[in-house]
Amino acid sequence: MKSVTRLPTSARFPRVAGPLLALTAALLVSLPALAHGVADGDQQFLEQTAGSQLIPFMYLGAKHMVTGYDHLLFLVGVIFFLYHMRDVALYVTLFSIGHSVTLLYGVLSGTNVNPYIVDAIIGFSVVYKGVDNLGLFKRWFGVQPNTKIAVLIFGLFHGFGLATKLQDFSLSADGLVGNILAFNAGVEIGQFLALGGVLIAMGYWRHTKAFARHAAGANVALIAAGFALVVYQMNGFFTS
Amino acid sequence: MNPPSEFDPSALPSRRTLSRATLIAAVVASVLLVTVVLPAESGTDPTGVGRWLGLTALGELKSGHAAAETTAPATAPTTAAEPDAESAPYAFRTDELTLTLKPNEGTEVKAVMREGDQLVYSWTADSGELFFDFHGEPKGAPADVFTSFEKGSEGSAKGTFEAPFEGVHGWYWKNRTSEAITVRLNTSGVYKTIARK
Repeated sequence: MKSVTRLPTSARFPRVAGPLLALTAALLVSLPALAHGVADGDQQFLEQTAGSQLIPFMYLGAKHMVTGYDHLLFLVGVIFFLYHMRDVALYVTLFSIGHSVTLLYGVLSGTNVNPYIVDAIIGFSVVYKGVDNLGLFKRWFGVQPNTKIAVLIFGLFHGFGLATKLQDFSLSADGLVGNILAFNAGVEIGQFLALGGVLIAMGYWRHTKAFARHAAGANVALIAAGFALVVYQMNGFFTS
Repeated sequence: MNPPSEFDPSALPSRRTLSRATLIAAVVASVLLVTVVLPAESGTDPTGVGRWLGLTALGELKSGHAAAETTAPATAPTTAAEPDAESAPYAFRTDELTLTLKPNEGTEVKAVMREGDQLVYSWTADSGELFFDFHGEPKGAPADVFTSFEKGSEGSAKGTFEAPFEGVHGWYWKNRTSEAITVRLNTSGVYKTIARK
């Protein structure tokens, strides 16, 4: 894994941490409307349709991924210090395998997982990735968790998160398997498109001298966003 | 494992590559916007690709939904009747639901009930009147089959209801005023779940 660079947590860390934490937390808390479900009209469509609707389900899968800030934050964390496309491809594939398995298994087997708990774990996965990027596991605990296995495992939780969104609806059993496979394919397409945008943006960012200076702060922001997601979802869990 | 390594600038894509990637991304995004996103989100389909893909129906449902519902409240899901086979009776429960309808917006709140299940209900609009259609859709019925129990336009209503058949029963509300209306619904009785559709 030559390509993974972990920046040292230097003296910059505390200086940027406070304001960034506050800003990110404020942003996330002030956006309750972002309850990350499937949009109202999409929901009606999902519930009204019966039979094979491959392209619309594919579209909704892609839309869910492209607009799913929790999945995107995690992906940004995963690729943050990946400089080679083959590493990006490897990690994203592991993530995809993880979330495909549980999305398909969850919906098709009818396994019910509490959506708030799953979404809180997804938030936690963002925290984990930020901490990992900052090299803090090594620093605090003297061990570096296997990053590939971690991405795969958190991918499994992200898949359950996708599954719970679909399970909120009474989907017609007619054509369900094909539709869910199409939804999953759409999730991969959406992920691919979103990743393309993220990679381009990060490519420009990495060219700037400021990247090294901003990288630590960005990962602190990631951690803060992850914690905000956890708190938001746990609040939902205890008040629902 | 994974010892931290030094930053390797040679691994960065060149600015030239980045510019090309940006251009490609912009083209892909524009094409998708016109052929996929617009049809699926607003029903606008300038190229015809959306209709070919079957996405325009999705967009038309969203944008034309309010208009369609004025005449046919039952455009709401009818596959919603739960495919559960267990025969245990539903438990007694109490729910409170608050929702806000924008001008011209319509919505449905339905309870999953079996034949003979009863509930008491009370709903109140915070201002003005709401058009309502209290109706039921039999379990497993096709999309446009529903039975209307009571229709009208009121600021509030309450009563007792006994489900004449198994299925989903509840209200279609439509805000026909020019101001947003918040409606609060309280229900108690024997039913599985109650939710906005």
